[in-house]
Amino acid sequence: MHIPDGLLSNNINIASAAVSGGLFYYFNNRLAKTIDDAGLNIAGALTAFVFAAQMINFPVGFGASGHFLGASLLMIALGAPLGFISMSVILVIQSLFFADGGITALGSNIFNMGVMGGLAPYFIFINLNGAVSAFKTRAGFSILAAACAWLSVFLASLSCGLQLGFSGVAGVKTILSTIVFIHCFIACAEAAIVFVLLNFLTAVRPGLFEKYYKSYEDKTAETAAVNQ
Amino acid sequence: MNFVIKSAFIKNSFYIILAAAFAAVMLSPMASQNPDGLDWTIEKHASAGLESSSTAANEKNSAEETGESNYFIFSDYKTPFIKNESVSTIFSGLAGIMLILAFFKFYSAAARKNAAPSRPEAGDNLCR
Repeated sequence: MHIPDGLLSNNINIASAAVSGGLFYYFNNRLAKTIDDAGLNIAGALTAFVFAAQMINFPVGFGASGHFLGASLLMIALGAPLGFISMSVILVIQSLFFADGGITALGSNIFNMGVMGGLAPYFIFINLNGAVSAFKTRAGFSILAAACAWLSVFLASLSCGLQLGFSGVAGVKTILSTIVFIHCFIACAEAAIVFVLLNFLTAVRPGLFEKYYKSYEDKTAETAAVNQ
Repeated sequence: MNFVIKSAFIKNSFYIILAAAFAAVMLSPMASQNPDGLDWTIEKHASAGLESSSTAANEKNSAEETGESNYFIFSDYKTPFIKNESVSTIFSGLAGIMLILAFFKFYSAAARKNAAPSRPEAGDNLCR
């Protein structure tokens, strides 16, 4: 859902560019304090993968197609600061070199796909993962992540539709109902892809996601051992 | 010892994920040509909406759209000097991957430069 130039009103572009730019600055500063090379290496590979996966449009019926977003995957794998920066880098490169998403709409695109499609579902994910013990198992964690991936595409299309509507492209209700409707289908594919990828990545590099389930599983194993 | 195994594993996982990225690029020519969710929505509704909005905005819009292919190297995920469509798309995808990896190379180099003087426990790494 890369918005091209000339569709959104200037006010919306400027406002969302301010939010996205501010968040990028904040996360960049936070990252500077806790930098580690291994983490950045994996971030580079994962970002490259998400970029490549975004090139593959799959048909979703109704004559439309969709593609992987990956924002939720990046956030869950890398954490909010690095995840947000990775997502922003993808969008910047897409708009500067591939004409995918306008340069004036870059702030809006980062807001839609990085903030609404990335940070918002990640916030829900991290809180539910911390609060509900059912989500602290390996299976529960990947189901929760898939649900958040669904939510990520849903929220991104919602904010994209609102921006288009308030820019006067068409009526807010008309555009919202269409864009959210079609993205509900795309979101199902996103959830399935994230679910498969999480299981693949857990096999490739267990350390990446252990923090979401390992300590809890260890603890339950310990109590089980004590009870025996 | 554990540390050695761990770092070897991290290196491997980097290449495995990168291989997945290359695999995705190889599959990209098979991508559906249908408009994506946003374009589909705009095609459905925007014609009515854009006509009613100011003509100046429309002119600017169309001028930017027609000029697009001149301004961007890999416009529409095609490499300008490669005629074969699949090869053209694959090449642009590989270039994108290189751009992203280059960014992270520079980013980690810059971060290391900034972090090095203000890190009191830097020597600790050797003892671990």
